[in-house]
Amino acid sequence: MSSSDEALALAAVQKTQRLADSLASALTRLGEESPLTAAFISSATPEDKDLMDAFVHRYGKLQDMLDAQLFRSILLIDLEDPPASMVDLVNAVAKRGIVDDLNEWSDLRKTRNRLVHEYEDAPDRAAAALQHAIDVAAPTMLAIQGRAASYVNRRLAERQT
Amino acid sequence: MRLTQDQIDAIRTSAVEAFGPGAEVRLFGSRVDDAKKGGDIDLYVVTPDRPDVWDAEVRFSTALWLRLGDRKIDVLVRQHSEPLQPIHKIAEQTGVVL
Repeated sequence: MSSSDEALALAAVQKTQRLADSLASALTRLGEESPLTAAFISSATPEDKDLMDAFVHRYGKLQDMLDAQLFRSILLIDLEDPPASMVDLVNAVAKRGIVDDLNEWSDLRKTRNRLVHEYEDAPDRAAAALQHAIDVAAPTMLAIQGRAASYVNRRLAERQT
Repeated sequence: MRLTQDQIDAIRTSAVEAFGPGAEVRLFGSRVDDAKKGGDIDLYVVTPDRPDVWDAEVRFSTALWLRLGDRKIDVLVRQHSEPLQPIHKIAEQTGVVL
């Protein structure tokens, strides 16, 4: 592993950690409104809308950074070439216990699609998508970020001893 | 319709695995148009009501991901009892059953 790979991995850990912290804070605040209803979505105040927007934005951004940067860094640290295919990349991190399996990551991807663009005209579906994100998807992604960060930190510490 | 027979088979097999034989899959959007190039694969699935519809949708996407790779595939699922949204109407009017 080159020192630039190590620097990239550390930067990826730090960036995803900051995002995870801000997602967790939006998750806590949105969780206080749970269970979300279609009425909540339809009559959302500007503050509620900002909170939902922030939640959705941070969710998507964290997911991008995890697969584009942190997962790839993990393979570089382990002296493997990051695969071009996302399926292979997710399988590789699943082998290390960071993600359960492809289905888990697939759920996170689908949730994001649903949150971002599908149901702007259907508050009941928007509420269901947000509720799934609050109950399952966001906590899962935060846990994945935690395991991935610990993995990187542990491997880098091993290198130094 | 711009899908290869292998791609159609992959979509059908994945749909049966995820939703069972009762679901119908349509291709809609730009891939229906032979004159266009590339583009996302937009799929519309109509399924009998099931309590685990979200899990089935995730299984479907995972199976497609494995079989068709990282290309952009958008899946829209409607259960029989759900009211038709405008996007469902477009998919039903312009889509091709696979």
